[in-house]
Amino acid sequence: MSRPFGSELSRREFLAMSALATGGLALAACGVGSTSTASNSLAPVGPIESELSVYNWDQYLSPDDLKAFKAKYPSLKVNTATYASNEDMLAKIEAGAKGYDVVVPTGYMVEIMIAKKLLMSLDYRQLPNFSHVDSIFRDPGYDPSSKHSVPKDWGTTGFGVRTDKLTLMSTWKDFFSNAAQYKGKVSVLDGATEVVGMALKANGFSYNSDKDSELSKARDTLLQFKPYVGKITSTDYKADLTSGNIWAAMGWNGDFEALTGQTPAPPVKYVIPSEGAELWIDCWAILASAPHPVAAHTFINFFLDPKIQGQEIQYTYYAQAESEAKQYMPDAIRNDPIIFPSADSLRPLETRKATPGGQRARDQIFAEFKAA
Amino acid sequence: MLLAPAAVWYVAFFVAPLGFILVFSFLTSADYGGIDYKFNLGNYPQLLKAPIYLRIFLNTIGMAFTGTALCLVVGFPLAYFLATRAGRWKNVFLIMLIVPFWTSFLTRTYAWLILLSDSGPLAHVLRQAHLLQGDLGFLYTYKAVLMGVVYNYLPLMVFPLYVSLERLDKRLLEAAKDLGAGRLRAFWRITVPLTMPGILTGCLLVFIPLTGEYVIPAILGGAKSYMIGNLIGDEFVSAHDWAFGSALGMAVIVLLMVLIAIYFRLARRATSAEMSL
Repeated sequence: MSRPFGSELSRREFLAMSALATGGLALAACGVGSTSTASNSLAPVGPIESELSVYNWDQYLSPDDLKAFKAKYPSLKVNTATYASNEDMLAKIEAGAKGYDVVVPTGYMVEIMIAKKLLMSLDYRQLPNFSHVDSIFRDPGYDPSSKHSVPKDWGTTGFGVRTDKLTLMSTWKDFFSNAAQYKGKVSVLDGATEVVGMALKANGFSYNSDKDSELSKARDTLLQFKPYVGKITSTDYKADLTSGNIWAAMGWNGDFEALTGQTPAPPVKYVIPSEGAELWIDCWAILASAPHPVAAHTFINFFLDPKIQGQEIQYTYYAQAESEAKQYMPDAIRNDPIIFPSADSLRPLETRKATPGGQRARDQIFAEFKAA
Repeated sequence: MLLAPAAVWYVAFFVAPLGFILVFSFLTSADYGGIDYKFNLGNYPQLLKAPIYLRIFLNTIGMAFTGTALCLVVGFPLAYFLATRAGRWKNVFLIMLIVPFWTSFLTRTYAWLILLSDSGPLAHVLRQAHLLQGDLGFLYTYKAVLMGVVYNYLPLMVFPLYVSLERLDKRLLEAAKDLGAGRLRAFWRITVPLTMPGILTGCLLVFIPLTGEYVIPAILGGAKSYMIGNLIGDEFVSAHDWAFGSALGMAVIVLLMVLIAIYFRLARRATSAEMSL
């Protein structure tokens, strides 16, 4: 049973994304629905339901925009719940959690959820704002023809450093091997994929390697690194960097950028390591079991509005898949190289492609890392 | 007939969940989580194959023993004070012991995160008093976990001890004194044996939930303490290996049954000692 999951982000997508990052992409003509739609099992069209439940990452939706949505649909009761990782979300849905409508899986998780038949085919007649999505995001490898998902935003996984406490590093190799300098003051994400993947990168291998010999090198790197690790968390590192409990943290670019927006802003700098790292796309999707599909489409369509996207980025600090949104954001964000990295720094990045065997190997290494 | 509601309750909340875990532990995990209904004997041997699992078990038992012992050491004088010295303030003190537990366990544990932080109030005060230079360095250590354990589990230890000490016939201590025993001797020969049922109950009440403790190590221990509870949680939620997670759960249950059997033997001996006195 080792059906490889997924085709890669194609070279075309990738170059286009680099172009997008440098701001030089001319918008391709965009016709709604030309690349999308499935004819079978379309979501029902009908009057909007009275309720909607959104299951999302923590702090991943601006409260102001949510308020605006509620103001626009006053009869709709909106419930929100949060999760800390794709795996948490999948576990809860698979364990039979009922009632959620909208979820926000990362690309590789979209693919897994499609394979498990957990996602509904989207009805693009109800998503007119999909026309604003850049064409390079319309046909991603993880979800051909965007049948089951639309991009919410994208970003990179690297590390951030308190520059008042440490000299800035530029590689994963340094991040792992310099740890004696910040004993107890370094945190990594609570995810087997990310942690094992970055240890693979530090050794010069692919983020997605499933080779035993390469995984075992990554394991050695991690076990040597472990005595110095202060914390394993995907949710607390923003607060820990601010308070000084942590000086160096593996994490997502937008989180570190969000810190620079705080007053007072802690002296934190984010790095895309030169070996490369992960490039991910988080997506809006609707569960096959969603009790309120019309409300769910309405919700996603609302957040695909470029104007709303321009506001969202001022809260999440993650780049969106709509160049049109750029006119609605302040210059400081539009020109921020952490949010919109240069083509050069995007080049060594990889997207995650999971296989069952590789995922299991990562989980085992990660359990060992945690227990060490 | 009168037993029917109890039987339903017992089946619904005890037998059925346990049955699921037992059955799952002999099945195969599907790719990316879930269960394939294929019989599989491999989950239990996997437990012994990699030394890390055994180490996590030992770490957990060690933590549970240390935590229980610390609760006893801190709790006994407190219970003794409440039962014998608190006088008319007794009820006030007892209520003060309970009131913090009206807030959520999680909130209280997170409160320690702020208190013990290197930029928190404790570090600040110590620095002001020139008792501390640099960082406190207490948070995200094993010591921080033990402190969280004592804080959260203390009432479970204090109340059974308090009840035993309260019931203690003070005349026996007077008699011991009349017969020439010093205070220490009277304490070890009279008070401790007679409150042994309370001591054992308190230890059991603390020890058993501690073996499954999940929240305190995760919040206060940082990357330094990974217990069985955390491992089982990760197997179910992150690694999606429900079959192996179930096998781990069963192993914990068996381990606890052995320890509880030992407890009952000790308890019976303690009660018969009391009888013979």
